Amino acid sequence: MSQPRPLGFWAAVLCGFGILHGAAVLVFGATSPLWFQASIGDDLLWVRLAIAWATAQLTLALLSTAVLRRAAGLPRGTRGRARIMGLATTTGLHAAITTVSMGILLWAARVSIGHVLGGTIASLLFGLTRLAYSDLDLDWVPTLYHAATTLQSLTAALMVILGVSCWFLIPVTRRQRFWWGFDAALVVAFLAVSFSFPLSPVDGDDASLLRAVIRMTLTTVFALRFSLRAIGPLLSAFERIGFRTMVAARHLRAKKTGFLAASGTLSILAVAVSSCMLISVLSVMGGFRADLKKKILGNHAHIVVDRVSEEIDDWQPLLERTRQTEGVVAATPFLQVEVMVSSLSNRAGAILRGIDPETVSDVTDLAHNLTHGKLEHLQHPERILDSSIVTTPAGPIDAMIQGAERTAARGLPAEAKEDAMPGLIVGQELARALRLVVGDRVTVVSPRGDLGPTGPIPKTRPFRIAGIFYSGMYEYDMKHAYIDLGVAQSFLRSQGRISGIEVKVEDVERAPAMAALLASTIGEDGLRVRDWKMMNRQLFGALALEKLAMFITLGIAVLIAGFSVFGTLTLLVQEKRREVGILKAMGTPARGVIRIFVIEGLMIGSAGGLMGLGLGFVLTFAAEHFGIRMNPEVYYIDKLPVHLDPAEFALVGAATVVVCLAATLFPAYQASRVRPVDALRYD
Amino acid sequence: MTDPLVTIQNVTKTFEHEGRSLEVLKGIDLQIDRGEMVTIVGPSGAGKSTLLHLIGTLDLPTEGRILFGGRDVTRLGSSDLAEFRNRSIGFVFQFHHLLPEFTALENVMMPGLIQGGRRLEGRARQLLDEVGLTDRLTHRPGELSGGEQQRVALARALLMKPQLVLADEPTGNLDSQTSSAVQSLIFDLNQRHGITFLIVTHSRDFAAMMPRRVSMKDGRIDSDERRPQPPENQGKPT
Repeated sequence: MSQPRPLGFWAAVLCGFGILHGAAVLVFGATSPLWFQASIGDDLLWVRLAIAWATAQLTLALLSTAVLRRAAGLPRGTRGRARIMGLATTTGLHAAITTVSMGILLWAARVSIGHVLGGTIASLLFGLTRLAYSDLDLDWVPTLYHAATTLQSLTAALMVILGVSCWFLIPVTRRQRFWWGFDAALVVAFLAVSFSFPLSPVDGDDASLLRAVIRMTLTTVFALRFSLRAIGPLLSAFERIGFRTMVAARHLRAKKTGFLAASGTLSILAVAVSSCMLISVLSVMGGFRADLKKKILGNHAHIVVDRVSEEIDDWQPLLERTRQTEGVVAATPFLQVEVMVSSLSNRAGAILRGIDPETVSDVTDLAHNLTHGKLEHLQHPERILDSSIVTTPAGPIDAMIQGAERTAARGLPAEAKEDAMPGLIVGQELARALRLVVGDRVTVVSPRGDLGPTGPIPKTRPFRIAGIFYSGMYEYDMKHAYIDLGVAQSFLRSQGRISGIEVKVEDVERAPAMAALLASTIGEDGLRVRDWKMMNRQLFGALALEKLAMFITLGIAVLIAGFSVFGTLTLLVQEKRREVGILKAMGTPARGVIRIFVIEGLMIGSAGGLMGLGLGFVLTFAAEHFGIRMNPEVYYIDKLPVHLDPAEFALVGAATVVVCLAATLFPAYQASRVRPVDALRYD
Repeated sequence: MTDPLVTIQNVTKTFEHEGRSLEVLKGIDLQIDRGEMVTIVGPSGAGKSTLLHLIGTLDLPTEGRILFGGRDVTRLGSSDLAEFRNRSIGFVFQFHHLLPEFTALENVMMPGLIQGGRRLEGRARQLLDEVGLTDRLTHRPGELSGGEQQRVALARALLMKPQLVLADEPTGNLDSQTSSAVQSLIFDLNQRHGITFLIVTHSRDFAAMMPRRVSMKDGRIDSDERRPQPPENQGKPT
């Protein structure tokens, strides 16, 4: 106790506060536009933020003054004096910058009142910092604002760094006591959050999203602290297993020379980061595949039965036989042909499908995918107009533009006759391209027309839009249109024939086997039975190849992490040469030495691997539940699809362990070759 | 008992160093009987430590045979050698060579652990008690004094009840008081357990106390003196 303790109570408080506040400023700074946006129109939130901010600055200023005065009184050369003075000065500076810049901003806001009619303080400030009202001669305000935020971020970062370095001036016992307190609070918070906050947010509810994020963050921190606490007992458990694990665990536990400790930590991190990356990317790729599969299966049947070049005649018994086959859930007939759809304003090519509205829902998700209109309108087109009045159109601008056209079309005197117009269901993109809403009238042009004097004359027929569907696949949404099967047969003059039968089976993954079974049971000349995997072979093949390429590329990252494990172990073997000599002199066989170091490498590898998988799990879980927004105009999906596959986690974990195992073999072999005579000769 | 414990027959050892060969041992013949206390003395570079390493199978002779209880240990495979070192030989080194990460008790138990899970904790405690370290069981080597460390090393050498203990200057870097304590401990152990000791030392006092003194010079045995009248602390052969 002869040396004065540089870190008094208030300095310790400043240290903790500095770290937290600095981190908060950095996070806040990164998300400040969001806060600004959120506080516009909500002055209460803005006032709350301002009060919290001002309190924090005041506290920081008072603390830093007190600590600075005390630290200045310490004798020169006291360990940590410079650090604490640095922390206190930085904190004071930070508070001053924040206060002054906020003061100027508020003054500018006062001066410019009246520039935002009926606006709030926040919107005023937002305008000031982003736009600067040119007539007010306040165009320096944005510059000041940006300079102030930059300085704030810099000082905040410095506060975090200095705070962390001051943290190590606190005696070990006190730090331990702090961690006990921290962990106790963490357990309480974790339990509270687990019981009261949701795991995944309710769609469109920002508050529940915030709660879910808080819950996940707390759970992650809890898991991290828990695993850190578990390392000691885990190593002790290893020591009890046997001689080799005992030596290995002791080696890892022992205080090492600086470089080796850094190298060990870095190799654990390298393994963690690379495996985390690998599993995250694989999960996203899996997500894309699952998304695609879901969409394909939603729009297409699992199995399609058709003929190669002609339509199927007398299909009722075939349908019955298909339905009675073991494993088939449902089957529905369809008739398909390519047509041209033209509206008042535009025209586009489409695949027209005649479907049986009664049974189609058992096979595909069409009814579920309808965003406007109803499937039953195909059979009862007269109901379309009744409901189209209450149906919200696709986009407000579209509706405004088309409003006039529609009323014109609807206002035709022959409305009673038009009621007999059959219904047509189109995809969202097709509807957008043709500017259609439910109830609109379109003309469908079929290539199968009558033979006229100049050759075939296309046959046309008017339809009324009975529904619009959104399948999530651009190709379907742009190219597909559905009508009633009976209507299609008469329109296309197929004389009761159909193109094929769509089949849904119990187990999607067993569809290829089911297709083979179907082919043999209903087997008939010229019949073709294809399953969804076969029909989309190229698409899934490309995805699988892409995924394999990703696995290999990122697997190389894991391999490089393995090099780092290799380096660490080589260093470790060098450092433990003498001990290996002792162990060998006492009769440890070469095998035993190899195993000791392999176990050490595996411990490093599995620590890194588990950390990486955990981190990857958190990332993918967050992406799956909170949703990473994507621009639907570009990607045609609104959020990043993620699919967590336990088998992939196991695969990545196994790959990591194998790489680390391979990395340990050579250093371990080197260790086993150490000759006790050489190792023990000199000390 | 006429059957000798160790028979060394015409052993030579040559080291290759930067293209030149250095003959450290130039034909050694030596017999050590069970229960004997033998010291090897001689100037630095005479080959004492090398001979000790050869007997302890830490190194192989260039020529010649070393028989241990009638078995040629120069022809053993690596796992047999490990087993042999574990069970039949106990080492005490000048720099004690304890494992720094383990407590005194664990260090003593180590040969038993290597041998395969047998913890032999009771015997280790008893041995540490015998060398006077009952209250140092959980201390790490770094927390023990030089003499204490050497006594732990001695206890460790004795754990597996070896037939031969090889000690390379066991009192080499100890002060005179602690080294005489270690010496009397060695004599005591030889007397009570009948363990054969082969000790390399520079200490004249220690060498003078030993019943048999082999002096080496320049890679050869210079003289092999036995005291005609064994002193009171000569061990009884088993």
